[in-house]
Amino acid sequence: MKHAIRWLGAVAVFAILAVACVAGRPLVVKNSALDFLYADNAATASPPSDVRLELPLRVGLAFAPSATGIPDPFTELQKQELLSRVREAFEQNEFIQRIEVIPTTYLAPAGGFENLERLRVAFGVDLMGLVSYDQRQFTETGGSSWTYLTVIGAYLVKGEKNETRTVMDAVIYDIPSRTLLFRAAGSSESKGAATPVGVNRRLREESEGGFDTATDDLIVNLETALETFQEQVKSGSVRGPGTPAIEVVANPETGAGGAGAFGAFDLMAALALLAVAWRSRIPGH
Amino acid sequence: MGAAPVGTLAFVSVAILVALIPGAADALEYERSRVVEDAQVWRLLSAQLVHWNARMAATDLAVVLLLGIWAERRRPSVTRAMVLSGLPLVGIGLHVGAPGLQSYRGSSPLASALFVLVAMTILLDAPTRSKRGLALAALVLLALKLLREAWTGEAFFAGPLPAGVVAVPFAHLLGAGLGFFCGWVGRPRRLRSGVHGSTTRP
Repeated sequence: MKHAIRWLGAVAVFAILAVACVAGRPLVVKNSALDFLYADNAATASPPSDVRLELPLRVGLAFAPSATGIPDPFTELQKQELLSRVREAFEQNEFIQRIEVIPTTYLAPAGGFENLERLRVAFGVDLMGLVSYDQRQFTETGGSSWTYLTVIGAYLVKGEKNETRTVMDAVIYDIPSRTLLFRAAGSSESKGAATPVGVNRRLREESEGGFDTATDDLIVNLETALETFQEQVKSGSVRGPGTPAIEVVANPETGAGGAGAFGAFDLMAALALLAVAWRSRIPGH
Repeated sequence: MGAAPVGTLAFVSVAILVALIPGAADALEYERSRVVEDAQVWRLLSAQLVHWNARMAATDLAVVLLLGIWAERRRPSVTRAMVLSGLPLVGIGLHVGAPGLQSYRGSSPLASALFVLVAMTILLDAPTRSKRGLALAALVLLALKLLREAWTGEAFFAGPLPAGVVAVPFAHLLGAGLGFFCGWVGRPRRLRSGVHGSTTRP
């Protein structure tokens, strides 16, 4: 009998530990621009070439498609709303003619640059902004972390119990040259009181709130990245020595903006005319 | 010595004030989409009051100030009418005549108009042939400049502009046309009958 009770006790402890381990695994939703662009092998992908940007720019903006087969945590409509907020933040930029929000359905999993080329023709865009996300919801564990891979590096993100951690990453590519121009990331973290009652609803709300906040953070960081990029462009390379050269020209027909500009020649001509005018002694009327 | 150049000084003062207020240029520049979609029609008038950078503002406004003071002292009503009508006329002209233009800043159309007005005033009213010859040469020079700009699509010695901003020669052409019209239509009555006001015409 004692033997049986010991066995039952051991089984019970094992079962509790097993449930704890299963429940402790974070809920993960993610997609990746990296997987979309370099699905086959990044090492054998065509190297980026020099960039020639013709202002004003036409930019496409889309969520990278999920390569894992796990459905996205939000609907296409919600994606469009998030991307529209990014568009509104940048469409007044004097160097941008328009920003086109492109539905994810136009991007095939692992479509790569060939897919972007088709979008370039279909939507008439020069640059493409791809948004990736990685959201993890820690429901039970006391602590965890994960490494989030981006196109140019990795984040180490730590998670705590009952936390929702969201990372959103945007990469801006020049489609013809296949060159990464700049990137930025936004993140959010929120803690909720997890109770067994209504936990799914709570998790869903935390998830949506996480994407909202991360999008706000992403917009701020994208603005900073864009300013840094504009300064970097003056040096003639995309990201400094060793990276592709970049040339920015104005569209001869529209430009990013028009200027009624006089120069030194006009100023000298005006001064010369004024000298003649003063010496002409023409009376006032 | 003629009327006070209040019109010119008001224009230049407002342009300087606008340059000092953060965000004002964005609200006042010509922007086709805002004019068409949001009916922000004031942008047609205010585009000449704002500039892309300080160098551009300094050059444009210096020419307007120098020529405007002289012209307004001699022909106040014509100069003021030209400044007032030039703001909407150039804006509308760019909107209609340059459909590819998305946004615009700069007061060089007014500077062009004043250049032509001053040259025509000298040409019509100067007492000596040499001065009239110089004024004619200035007009010919301007015409050649405009022709070259129209031919190449680039402003002549416009100086460095921000990335993506292109000079709009058509704006100079509009200004010059306005200056010619005002200079001819608004010439003093005594010159309309062919009798010059000067006492000697060597």
